[in-house]
Amino acid sequence: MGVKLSAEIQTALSDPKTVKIVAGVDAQGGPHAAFKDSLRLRKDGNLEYDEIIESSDANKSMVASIWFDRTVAVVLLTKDHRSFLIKGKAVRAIISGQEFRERYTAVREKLGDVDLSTVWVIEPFFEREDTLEKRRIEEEKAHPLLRHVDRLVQVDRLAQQDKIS
Amino acid sequence: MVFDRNWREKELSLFQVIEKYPDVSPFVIIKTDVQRRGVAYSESALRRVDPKRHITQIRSDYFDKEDLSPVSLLMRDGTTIFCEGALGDAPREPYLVDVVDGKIMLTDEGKAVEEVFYWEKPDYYDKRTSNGTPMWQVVSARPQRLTIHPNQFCDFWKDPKQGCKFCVMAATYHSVQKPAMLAVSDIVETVGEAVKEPGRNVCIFLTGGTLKGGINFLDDEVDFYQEILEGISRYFDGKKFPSQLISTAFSQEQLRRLYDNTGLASYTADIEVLDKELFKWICPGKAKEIGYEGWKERLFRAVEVFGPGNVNTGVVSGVELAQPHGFKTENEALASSLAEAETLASHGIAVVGCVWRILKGSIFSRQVAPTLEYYVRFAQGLDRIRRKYGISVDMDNYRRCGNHPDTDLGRI
Repeated sequence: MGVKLSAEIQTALSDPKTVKIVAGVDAQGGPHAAFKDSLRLRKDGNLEYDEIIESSDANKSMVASIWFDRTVAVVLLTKDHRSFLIKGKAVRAIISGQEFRERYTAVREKLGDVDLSTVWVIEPFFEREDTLEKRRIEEEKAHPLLRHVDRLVQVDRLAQQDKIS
Repeated sequence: MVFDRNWREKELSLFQVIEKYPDVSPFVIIKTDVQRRGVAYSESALRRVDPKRHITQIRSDYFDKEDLSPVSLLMRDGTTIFCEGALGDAPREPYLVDVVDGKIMLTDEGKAVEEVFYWEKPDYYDKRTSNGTPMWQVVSARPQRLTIHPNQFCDFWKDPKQGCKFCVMAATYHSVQKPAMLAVSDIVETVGEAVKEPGRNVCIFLTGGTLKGGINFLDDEVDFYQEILEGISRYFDGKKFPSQLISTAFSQEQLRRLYDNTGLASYTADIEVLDKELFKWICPGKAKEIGYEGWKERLFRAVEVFGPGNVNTGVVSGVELAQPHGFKTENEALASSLAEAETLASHGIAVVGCVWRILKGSIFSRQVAPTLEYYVRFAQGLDRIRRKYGISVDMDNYRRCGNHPDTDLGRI
């Protein structure tokens, strides 16, 4: 079941300066990640991107996702260094028809004499801001035992101990 | 094999096959079963057909229709499902295409199976050639391929008992008022119009019936294709373009003529069944004129002309189990057919399987297709062989013919 992406993520997706990465696994379980500048939000709330290379590892990962119901990850890094993680499933490979034609034409207008293999549609089911500072605060609140003790110790108490000994 | 009305109790179901073969795409398994069993359309599914947007008319050597039902289907992952032609006299119950929760869905026994889409119509389809011929009658369209059937009859059907037993070319021809041979000018003009459409076509494909005549055996067929291909090649400045010809097995000299004078890039001569004795029974005309070993030899020579990966051969998978002369068990049929496919692959020739749709009008119309599991094992076997011998799937991948479950598996 899909989730509606937050306004922050929608803004990040629409900004051409945002770095966008799609990652998946191939049929043998091998990971693969690639920059996908064309990643964007669809009117139906799903994500889509233009896959240029038919025989690419990225394309094979997406086929594996739609065939075997495997999760793909999308990572966004904004120009002000905030990052977001989205998890989803490939739900449609658009390879022909009017919608494909529109993207084919748009891609060629933007990139020149290139081909278009597939417009991949990803249905998101999970999202989270992954910016380090935000995640660090969340982590320490949720998992207070998962830290090194030297960070917790009171330095002045250690100094007193040193004097006694 | 005798048709059993209780077939559901005797075979693994679709969902059982999907569960048993977790490494095989469930989309390809569904496609295979739908092609094996056929489809019917509910009234609500038919109401979703827009004749301005979807392909409903088609003229080909195997299939001719003008009603308002969709020609065929496409799946969410881009897999093509063929639904062309009326099935024979002993079919399993077809899938029902219905509308469920607003989506067009394949259903079986009232359960939704998978969403499908109707094929969209290309720009050229409703236009006419300068001769006044409707272009859809000259070149038919698959989602990404232009399909040309220049000769819609076959010389093997002119002689008694020489036609291939699974074939409906003669029955289709006699059921429709249409010319056997298309005008070359119509074909070239229609292709010229069709290739203007951006992002539509990845292959120009030709096939048709055998023409035995000429100075040398089959020269008439070669001449006909050469004239068409030379006309089309002018659009590509004479360079090779993504294209495929399925013809009778030509001699190397004839193939060299086609390769050297046209932009044709890949070649197929369908051997139909991977067994010498069954070839004689099922394809008597081909067996008499060329022979099983002769057919293979011509395929080997074709690789020398077109190069490895650019030659393959199709089989009507399942006919090897036709009775009374076919294999008696699916295990025997699989072992024998895959061994022969491997022999061909060792010469650089991939075997591609078509799901045997037992069609009305064929001599085999009362035969019974194998189980779904058989098709899955066969497709998996052909895919493994192709990978083992490093034979490219490009010339016949899922975007082109779309009728081969084994090449669909080559996507990952």
